Amino acid sequence: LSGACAVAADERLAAYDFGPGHPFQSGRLEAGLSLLRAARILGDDDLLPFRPAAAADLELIHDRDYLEAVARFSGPATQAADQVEAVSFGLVGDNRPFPGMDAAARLVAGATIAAVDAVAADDLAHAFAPVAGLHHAQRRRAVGFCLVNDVAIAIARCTRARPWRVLYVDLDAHHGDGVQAAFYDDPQVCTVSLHETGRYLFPGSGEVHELGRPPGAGRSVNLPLEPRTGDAGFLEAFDAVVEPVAAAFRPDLLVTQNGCDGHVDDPLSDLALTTRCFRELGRRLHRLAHRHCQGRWVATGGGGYDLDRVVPRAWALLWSEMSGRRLPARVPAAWRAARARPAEPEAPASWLHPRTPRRSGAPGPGAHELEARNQRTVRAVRRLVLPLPVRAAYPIPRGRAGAGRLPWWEPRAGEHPAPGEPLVLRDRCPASLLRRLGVDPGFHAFVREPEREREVLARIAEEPAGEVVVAHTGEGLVVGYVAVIDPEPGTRFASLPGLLEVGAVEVAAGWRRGGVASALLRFTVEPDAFEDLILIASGLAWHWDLEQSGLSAMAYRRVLRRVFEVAGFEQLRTDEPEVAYHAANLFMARIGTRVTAARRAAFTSRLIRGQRAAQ
Amino acid sequence: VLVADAMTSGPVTVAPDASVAAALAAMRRGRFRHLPVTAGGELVGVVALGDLEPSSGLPVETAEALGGRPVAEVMSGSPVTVSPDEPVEVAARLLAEHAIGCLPVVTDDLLVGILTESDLFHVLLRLFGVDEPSSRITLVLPDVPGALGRAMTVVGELGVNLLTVVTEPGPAPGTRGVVCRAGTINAAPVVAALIAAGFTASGPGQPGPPDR
Repeated sequence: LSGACAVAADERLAAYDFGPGHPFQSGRLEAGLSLLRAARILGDDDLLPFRPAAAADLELIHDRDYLEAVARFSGPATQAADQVEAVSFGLVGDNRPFPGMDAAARLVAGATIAAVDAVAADDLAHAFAPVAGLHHAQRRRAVGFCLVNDVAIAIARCTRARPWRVLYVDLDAHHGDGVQAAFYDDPQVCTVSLHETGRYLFPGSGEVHELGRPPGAGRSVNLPLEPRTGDAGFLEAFDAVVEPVAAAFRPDLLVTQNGCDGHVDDPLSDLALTTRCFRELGRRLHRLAHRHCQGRWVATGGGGYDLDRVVPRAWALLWSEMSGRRLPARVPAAWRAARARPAEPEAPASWLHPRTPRRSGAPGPGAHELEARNQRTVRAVRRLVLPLPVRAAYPIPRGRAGAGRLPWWEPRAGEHPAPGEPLVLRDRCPASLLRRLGVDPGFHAFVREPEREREVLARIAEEPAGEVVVAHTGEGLVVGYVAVIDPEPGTRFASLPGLLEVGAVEVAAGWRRGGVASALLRFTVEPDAFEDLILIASGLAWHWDLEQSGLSAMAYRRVLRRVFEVAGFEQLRTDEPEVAYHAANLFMARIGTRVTAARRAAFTSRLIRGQRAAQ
Repeated sequence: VLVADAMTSGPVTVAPDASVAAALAAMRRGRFRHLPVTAGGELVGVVALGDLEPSSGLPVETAEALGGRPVAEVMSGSPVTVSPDEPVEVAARLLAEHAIGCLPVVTDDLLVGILTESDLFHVLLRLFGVDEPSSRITLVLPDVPGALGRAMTVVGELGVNLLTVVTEPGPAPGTRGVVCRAGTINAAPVVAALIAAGFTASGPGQPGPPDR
């Protein structure tokens, strides 16, 4: 059956209904599925059978006393005396108890579990659970219409059973806080959430610096975007971060939360997206699943509350993409007529929003400011979570003003004795040379194919101040490299004159422990011109290849520190947030002998910023 | 909130004749920047990381040259202190006025706790309610009696639970700024109702310009 797709939903899910006047009501299921049927992209054979989730599964994510409270408050009427307890579990207001809510919540979780199980077992390639993706629910609290965290439960089931990595991508307008919290320190699950900034919007979290805790540090990724971001801005942010994260993380399964409440007609957010954006996101996720996850993709419906203009079309576009079934040219007239109600907005006849200017959501004053803010956010996230080779392999498609390459020294070549045959060391490698050399397959393989790895190096060499130093065999196979770059704009040491950064040092797996890295670094800084320069290097623990090296983070740090010290670097204390984030992170600098006192002082004064006058 | 509710009780301490190296090691182990110095339970001084590493831009190793000297030589001998039954805002004012990073908490000369900048951050987080899922709504009200009450009535009538309400002097004279956190994902109707009732409000649905 592999290659097939299914929808994990049926009319039983209509029971997940907070009642009249509440945004999350049973009408969602009917409104959505009826359009899929009317458009002839969903038949009865496409439905995946599922059962209510078992208590053992719910308890993977939730505390038993919370689940018992949900069951207790599922009765027909509750006593006023219970109010305080209900509030303590979040069962109030947005999540007011309704009869049968316990069974309804178990059904939602059961649908997602069935979808993930079927895809993980390769019975299905893709599965869609439209009434699912209750991403806010916490361990012992109902939050934001979410009673149980079905996605977290299904992912946890999968990673308990298999040594897999799961990439979770959350496109709902609200931060995927519950799923992030469930896996905040779990190295097997990487959560990526794109959402409207929590400055005003619920739940208020999802800042760039929420990055996860060891051993899962660097595997919680957040892109908080401005209100009125619009389609183009949202897609730019998605492209700059999501696929590179997948390339770095190497997942076995993709789980997505395709909340459509970012739509311009949806009442609950201000992102100002349209169905064009949703269609593009579906295409990109589909491609990503096949490129990085062997096709395994489970999508959940998430939020979305306008039942005429938003939710049905968003589900239809997504399922059409997953199943490969073409939508009719127009939204079926019969379906629109059946949905028409007086005093309700009419369902549109076209699948896609009328074409709008490039910055669809951001007209008028402030547009440039919000665009600039989003770009700063994207750059910060890329720098924090993506190793340099991955950043270079997946560049932001946008030119940066070039500063001209440093004209100070000529290319050189040297030798390093290695077991078997000597290695050739070569600095200032031009992109054209790098494209002719081969690449050893033993690199950490952020990017799996050697072809791609070679292109990464060539791109770094093409950067304005980019400098690539390689060690290659007599046959022209690159086995190690050092990349020197300009610090990324906007970062703490970026604007200092005469300062460069060692962006990456990497040696292929079969060539480690032979002194290649330290020979390369010494060779890199040998030219006299480096005595006029400050060279910085930060080692971020979550970029390290601990798996292959078999070292602990602290042991790896010692080795790295030694390698840099041999080339004249010294360890410095800094509260630069990326470095200060994790105790194993390392900051090293090599201050050339002719660096002026003023430049040295300008540099050291930036090391520590946050420390206020202490007693 | 009282100092006693926000402070760290029973903090790690050093004796005045302990070496600087030992104090530094204790700070690194506990990941903090201030150590009360006590003799027989009585507070005699405070030593801060800054006292031990005068130029923090230098390599860590250089600071260790100080290591052999006793703490008494580098500590502040008559530190500003606070009593555990003071309100936390009084402690905050002491920290700001003296430009210091911590306050030993003392009853009858005996050290009972320590209150640092970090403890105040946690108080701030609680006051603003940011560690609970919620929506942020801001208001600019005329600074007259009853204005805040009327605004809160509008919110209350919608059945929405406010987790926190913080007010501050407003952007213009005669106004007060109010920051509330509402325990609902659906806050746009609250903002709309406030605006309909004549209040100046920002929040979901009315996010305002990016700079405010």
